[in-house]
Amino acid sequence: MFNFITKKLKYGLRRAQESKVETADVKSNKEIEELPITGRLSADLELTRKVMGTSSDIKIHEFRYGTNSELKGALIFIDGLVNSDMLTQGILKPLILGKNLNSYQKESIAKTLDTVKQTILCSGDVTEKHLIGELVESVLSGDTAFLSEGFDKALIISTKGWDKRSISEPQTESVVRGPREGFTENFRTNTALLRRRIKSPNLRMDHLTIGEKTDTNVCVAYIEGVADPGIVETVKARLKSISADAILDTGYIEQYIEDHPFSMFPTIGYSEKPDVVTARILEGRVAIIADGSPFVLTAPMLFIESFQSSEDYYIRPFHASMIRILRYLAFFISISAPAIFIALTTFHQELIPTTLLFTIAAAREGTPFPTFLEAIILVFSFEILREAGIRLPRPVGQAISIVGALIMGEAAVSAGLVGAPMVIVVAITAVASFAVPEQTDSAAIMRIILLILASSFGGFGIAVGFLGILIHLASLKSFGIPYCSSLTFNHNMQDSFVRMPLWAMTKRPKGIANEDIIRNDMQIPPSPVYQPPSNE
Amino acid sequence: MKQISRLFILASVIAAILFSSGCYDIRELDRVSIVTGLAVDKAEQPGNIELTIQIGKAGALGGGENVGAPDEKPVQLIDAVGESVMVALESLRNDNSRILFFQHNQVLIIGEDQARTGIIPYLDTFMRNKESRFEVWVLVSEGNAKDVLETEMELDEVSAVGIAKMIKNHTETSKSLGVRLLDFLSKITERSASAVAPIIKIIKEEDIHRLSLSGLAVFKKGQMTGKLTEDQSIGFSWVMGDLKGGNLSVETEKGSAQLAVMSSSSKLKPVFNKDRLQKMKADITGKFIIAELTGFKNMKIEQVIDLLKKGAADSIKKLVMDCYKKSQQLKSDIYGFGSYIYKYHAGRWKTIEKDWDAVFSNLALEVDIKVDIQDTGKTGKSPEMEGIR
Repeated sequence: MFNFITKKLKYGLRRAQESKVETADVKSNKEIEELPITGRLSADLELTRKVMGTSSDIKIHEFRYGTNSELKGALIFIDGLVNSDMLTQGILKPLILGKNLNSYQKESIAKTLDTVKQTILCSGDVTEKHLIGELVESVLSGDTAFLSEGFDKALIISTKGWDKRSISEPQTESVVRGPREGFTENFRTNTALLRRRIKSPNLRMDHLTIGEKTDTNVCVAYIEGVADPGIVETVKARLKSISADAILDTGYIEQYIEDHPFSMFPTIGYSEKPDVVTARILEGRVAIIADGSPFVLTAPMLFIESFQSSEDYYIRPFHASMIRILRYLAFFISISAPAIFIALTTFHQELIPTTLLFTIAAAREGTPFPTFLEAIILVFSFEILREAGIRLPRPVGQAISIVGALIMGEAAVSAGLVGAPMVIVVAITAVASFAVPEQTDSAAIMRIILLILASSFGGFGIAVGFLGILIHLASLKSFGIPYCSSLTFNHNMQDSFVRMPLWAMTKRPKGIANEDIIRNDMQIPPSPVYQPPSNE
Repeated sequence: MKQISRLFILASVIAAILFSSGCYDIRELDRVSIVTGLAVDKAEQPGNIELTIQIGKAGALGGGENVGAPDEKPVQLIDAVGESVMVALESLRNDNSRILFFQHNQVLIIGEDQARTGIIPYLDTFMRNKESRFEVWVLVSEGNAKDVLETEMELDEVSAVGIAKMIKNHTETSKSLGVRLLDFLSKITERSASAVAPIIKIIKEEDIHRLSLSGLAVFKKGQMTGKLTEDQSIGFSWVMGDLKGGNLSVETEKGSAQLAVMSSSSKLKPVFNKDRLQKMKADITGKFIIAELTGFKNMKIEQVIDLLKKGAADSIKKLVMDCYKKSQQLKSDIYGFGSYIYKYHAGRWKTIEKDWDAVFSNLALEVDIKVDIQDTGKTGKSPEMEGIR
């Protein structure tokens, strides 16, 4: 057994070494990227072509410009990534038709370049790059590079403009009352959505690029003076330590930097809604935005965050508190209802009232499978239905749900394959599991673990299972903050089991924000001010 | 490598626990017979008992679409004869395709014949066996206990469940007294060694058989010695202070009334003269509201209440003394006086322990009754009283 595993491991190591050798062959490309731009246009373009290859979407446009068209220049850009209006109106047109170069053309090359930069190019963001590699990188991210004969640097003109999804209401985290904007896949839109909500100069958006192949833009957003500098540094250090070739979604980042990769509980929060992320940043958390993902990560995450919905804070505290308590109940039901049902009906029948016992027993009469198998079948069928419902196109999804509801719910019971009480229990479980969306994944696993424990040991198994889960939860930490910290009484509990009125939540959560902890300075309760009506 | 082997060991330990020790006491509901009632009768062979169990048929009883044929009997009765409960149970188990499941047993009915012969040897099983619950109601049947379980009830398909409901209901009206197995057993094993259990009988009216609770059976040292009538059992409840409802009829020279009992309490105390037990003292408090008034012509309500208070105290006293005399006749200390003295005056108990029966049958009971009429109902008047005409 172990020999087999060692063999496999050795094989894997050998493969890894072989692939290292392969990358050595491509070194020439890397070397080119280190070369400076020479100023000989044809040579520079040749190098660029060599690096970027012959992809059809890479455009190298050579042209002549200046008053008498005596200067040779080239624009390098990627079709589809650049805004073509901007390219023609802001770069090509002024360059080719522009007369300003006339008086400077005989002076030094550097001055010509300055002229082009300052008086001709109609763009808000022009930078200079000296290396081929830098040029290629900028072009690949949607900018246009301008090379000219005799210039030993490239002008990088920001022309990013590709088709993107507009801001829309997110599919997850719907609210009845509250903002409906959602993040999009576009990096800048997302940072702008945050910036628009926090107009403080202290909002920091530190930029990083991660991913050797994808070079994904990643931004760490936090408020300086509110967020714990230690946590900010930890987040940045972990992000920098990622050496992966691709970041396709913030989910990648989450898995690379989370504290407990082997835990079923998420230790990094996420949200699709800018107001939620803003609120978390204001509590001292750090947000991680990645290009291409409408989900923004927030860290550190507490267990309790899963039970807090943004709407809790937009509606008045009474109903919000009630709903929150219901969410805890729903979470409990979603992980333990099938297990408790199994424990009661196969081990502890004496705990069921007599009349109810007869009803349950009547449903059991003639069903062929043991209760445990019945539960497992139904729980897994539900997971399959859910998965199929998500993946399928919407019209087909409806068909699936009809088939699921009719065949599983109705026909299976009347055919006598499963008992009706079990169907009800699993249905309640399924509904309850959606009340706490952030823990749906962990709940699905816990449900099955508890189910197995309950069917082998009854109530004792459930107790042991819950104890295990509790011990595990208590051992978790997210970026140094204990996962369950706001469930203990030494932390401020204004926002845990019940949601206190906003004016009573005067301080930011303890432990997360350690500086500037005063959130508001309201009178408690706020007393309304009356302006006596004037008699004029 | 080390970690992999540790994980492997952990996984195998968990698997071993799950597969080797798990499920050992699993009971699928379709493998059990839910026993709802037990009856113990005297068997024809001397020294043997006939044990009858009533099993609720889930298929016929459960709601929803799974209900079986409409004319299917909802219960099944099986019986066996044996020299002890365990022996009889063994043979019942052998004859049944399913595990007998006693946790939902509602009643334990003892046939009068067997009760008079003695039940001590047969109660041990119910004390010892972890399956049997102490919340089971203990009853004594007039006639055969099996017949009681056989009797069908109009509303409750399972007669044992119906009997349990009936007992709860009767406890509310105080006509009878529900006795749970735990109370019964502990009273019988205490110093007083006497206990009561409600009597259930079958009333045959033409072709309808129905069940009725009436009075209490008095046990002494595990043997039934006599019966208390309904009124006597109410008197018993007054002394024990656990009367929870019901009516008290009061007769006075000016008129009569029905008083509804709201609550009652009682304090028992032995009175010693030097070291000799002189008498028992019971301080009884009763709180009532007026449920019905007849007579009391031209009287004010205050006067009526004063009159009623006196009358109520008298009728309670009559009930109490009636029952007390009966219990003295039977030489059964059903009140637990002996246990009380043993508990709080252990030294003195030793002197009277040996001839407690004789002491008890000559023991005087002093009753001090406080009556409180709290409410006159919806009206303070009555058609015949002053102020209407």
